[in-house]
Amino acid sequence: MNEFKAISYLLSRRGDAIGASDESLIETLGLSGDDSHQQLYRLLETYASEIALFGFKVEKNPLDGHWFLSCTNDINEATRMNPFQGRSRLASTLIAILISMTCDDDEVTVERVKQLRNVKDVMQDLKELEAIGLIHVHGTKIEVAERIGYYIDLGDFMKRFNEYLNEKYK
Amino acid sequence: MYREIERCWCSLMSKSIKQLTLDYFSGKLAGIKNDIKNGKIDPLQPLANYLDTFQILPEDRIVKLPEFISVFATLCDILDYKVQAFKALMFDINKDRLARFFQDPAAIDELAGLVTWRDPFEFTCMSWPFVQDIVEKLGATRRLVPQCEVVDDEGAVQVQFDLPVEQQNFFQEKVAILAALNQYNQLQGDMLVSIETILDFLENECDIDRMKAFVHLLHLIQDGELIMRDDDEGSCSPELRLWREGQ
Repeated sequence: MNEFKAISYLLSRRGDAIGASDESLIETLGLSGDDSHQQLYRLLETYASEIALFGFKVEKNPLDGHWFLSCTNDINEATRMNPFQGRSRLASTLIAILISMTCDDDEVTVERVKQLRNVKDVMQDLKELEAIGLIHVHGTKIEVAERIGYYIDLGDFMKRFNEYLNEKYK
Repeated sequence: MYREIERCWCSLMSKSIKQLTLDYFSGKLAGIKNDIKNGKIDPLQPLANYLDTFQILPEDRIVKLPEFISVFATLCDILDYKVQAFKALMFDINKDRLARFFQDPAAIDELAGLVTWRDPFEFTCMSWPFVQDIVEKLGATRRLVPQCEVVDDEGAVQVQFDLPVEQQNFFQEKVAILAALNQYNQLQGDMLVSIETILDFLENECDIDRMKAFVHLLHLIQDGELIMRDDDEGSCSPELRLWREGQ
């Protein structure tokens, strides 16, 4: 097994944790010395340029610092990739939580999400989102978990949200 | 012309690995800053990996302070671009439009359909303990390349080069030799064999350099793994046997 094969498996690891952190990659690849991080980034850079040909890219979840593998944007767009396929209500509830988190002054609450979603009950959605590990529900309050960074680029989402508002409510 | 190339080459070679790393890092950051400035890349693109790297730059950063200041200044510029871009994004959200969005019952579902979702890729069929075992072995066999420097009378580095890396370190090799001797049919039980015969065996059968094998034998004698015959102390061709429990 060579370094790139090891990186592939480490970045595609999924379970309690997705992908691998800098430290775990450095340790398992046996990189050492003061410049071990630089060695790792150069390896990842070369690896990323090699696998782009096959439609994969290396991404980092800024919320927990883990590197992971995902598909390139063109494949995402073309295939309309959606981890909530067939469960669009979950996607909508998650979007409502993100909007409340960024646009409201207060904490995100179950009541506010219900109001934004304009539905009678969101508890089932919240339970399912919590089971996936995307949110934590504490009584009436909702917190977003680090895992959400694997499913959506928050910066990109904010830009799209802004564009949507400007387009739709001219 | 040739002299000029030679001088450039020596100057490059005389740079330490740390210096080259710093140059690489500095060049990368300058490139990112220019790309943001020229609108080629989005300032909101994550830069966490480069910021992390700055935290673990070589510990002699005080000695190279002027260079670190320039790297730090570039980083601050990039950070400033990012903060400004984020502020612009937030201020751009029009409050009236946001209020209309909140009033629109279908807006959330519509927006959810426009979001670019991503799904982390996984190899479900791979046994993780198996992979872990393999990558552990990969890590265990990696060695840092020893680096040599040729310095002149004034201590200035003239040239640097890497030494070939040994496949096994000394202790791993010693263990391998001991294992080979345990399998050697002339050393079974309490059989005694001359040191020359053992050296021949290690050289011919195990492909180990004779001098290196001799050093290992001395270490194995010192460790008590090989025992020299009592009356061999003054002999020019001593005989050895393996230490075995109860013998």
